[in-house]
Amino acid sequence: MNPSSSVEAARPNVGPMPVDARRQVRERLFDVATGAPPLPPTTNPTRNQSVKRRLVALALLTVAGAGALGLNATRGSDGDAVIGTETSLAEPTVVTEVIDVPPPPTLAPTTTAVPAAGSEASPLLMPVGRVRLDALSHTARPRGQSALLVRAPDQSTIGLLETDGLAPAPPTTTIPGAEIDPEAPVILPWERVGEIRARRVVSPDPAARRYEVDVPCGTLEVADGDSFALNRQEIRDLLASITITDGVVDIALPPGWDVISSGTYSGRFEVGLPIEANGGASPFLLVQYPGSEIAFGAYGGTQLQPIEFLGSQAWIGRGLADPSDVTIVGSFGDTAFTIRVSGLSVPQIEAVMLTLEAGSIDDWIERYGALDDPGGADYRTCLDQPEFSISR
Amino acid sequence: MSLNGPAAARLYDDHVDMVYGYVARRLGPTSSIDVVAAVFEQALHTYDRFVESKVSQRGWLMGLATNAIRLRWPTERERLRAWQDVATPAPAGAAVDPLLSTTADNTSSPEVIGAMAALAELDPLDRDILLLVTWERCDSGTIADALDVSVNEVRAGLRRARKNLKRIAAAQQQNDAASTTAPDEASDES
Repeated sequence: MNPSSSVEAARPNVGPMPVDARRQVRERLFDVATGAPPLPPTTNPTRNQSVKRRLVALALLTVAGAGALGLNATRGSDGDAVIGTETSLAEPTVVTEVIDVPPPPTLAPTTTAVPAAGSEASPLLMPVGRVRLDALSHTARPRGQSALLVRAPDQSTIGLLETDGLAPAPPTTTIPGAEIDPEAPVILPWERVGEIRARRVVSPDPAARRYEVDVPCGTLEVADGDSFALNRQEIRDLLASITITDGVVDIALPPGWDVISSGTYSGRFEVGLPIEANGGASPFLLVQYPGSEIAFGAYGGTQLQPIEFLGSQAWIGRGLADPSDVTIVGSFGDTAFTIRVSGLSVPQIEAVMLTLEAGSIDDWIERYGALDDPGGADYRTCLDQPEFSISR
Repeated sequence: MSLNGPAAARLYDDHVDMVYGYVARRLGPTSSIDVVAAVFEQALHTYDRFVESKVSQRGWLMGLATNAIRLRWPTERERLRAWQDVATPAPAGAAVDPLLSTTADNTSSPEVIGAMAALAELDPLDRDILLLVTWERCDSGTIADALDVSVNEVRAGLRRARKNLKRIAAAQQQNDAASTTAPDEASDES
């Protein structure tokens, strides 16, 4: 028997859907069809015992130590800004419904009726229906900006970000005795490293810490891990591998270094979903970069480790001050994403993602309004704008 | 535009067993009920897209279900790789969850187990096409609707799936043979 015939022979015999389950799904569907929020099925006393056991097991598996999780979705009909009953899923058994029974997104194959998230036609994931959001924004890409994410031999990740523009402003001089804001970043003097000049920007704010490389006609920033020592060997090796010729930032990566991601992006779409976890609100920020790689979403001082997320390769980082602050960077189709949450486990984060549906840029505009306009005239009057080039 | 009222009920009643059968065959019964619920929930929410698309209703629902299945690829992969356990009927008298009683009488021969493991290594589109043909008895037009590809692509995908399945299964067989003979060789040397 050839393998195709073996597959055919292995066709499982599946009977009709069990009557109880069929009825229960039917009840939920009619709630959905009439616009009312879905009832948590665990409240239905006719729920099959085995299903209950599975849900409890899932609850233990996915919610242990994290408390309850819920997505507050307030859905209304057309013309209503935000109306309807707020569904706050506070009981642990209900949480499993968020994880186990999400409205299906469409991350991979498509039909003409079902757009695939990350495709050219439907690059975004959005909440289903009208949902109250904690944050919402679209940012156009700054002209001529691109990012690079590399991994050092010690497995630490380092981000680089170049932005076209005018030549950097001349260095400022500090007047002795002048009042200094203790929170303001401190810019250390330029140092020569190999063939380039670089300097360190020190700040209490991790987001403001960086190295700056002296490039004509723009900026080049390097973000190392928040916890790493100033000018550690890996940073010095990376900076020493850079040469700049006519704006081209050539990085001759030493042996043992890898490029994880590089590229540019067209726009940044951000939604903040209202999630309830641990008895309180928990921010869930989803940032999407259509037509981009993960380098932009990963840029910053958070150290990333590979994980499997929704069945695909992704990267996870935890906050230095608070390890419950989680960043997940990955991609679906041609869209890269960054998720920032606090106090949620990876299965819980996956569960929230599974409640989203694919949509087009037009869908976004229809729901949330016009996009940010990059605006203004092209300011790149300087000839040698920076761009990355990797060599070995 | 959502579908609601009697039309929604009709859509559900007419197709629920078809969708459930497809999902249960690929993911197993354990999670299939929730997946079926999710498929129909999306179907009702996006009914306008279906109307505009002019695809067949069966193809559209199979497409939604295929999407939902693909999102649960780790579950399906696990199931394909452990087909021996899936296909082995529970011992007589054992307490069996009624929802798990759907996969009893399949063959569990080494050829079938090898073929199912090879199925896990196929390209996702090819795997979908092969299973829609062999398990769901879908014609190429329905599959084209479901997967948003042309009929020619369905045919090419099916040819490719069969060819690659054969190649992967043969390679796995060779590996298995090598691993079983290795200890004998080691003992000969000693």
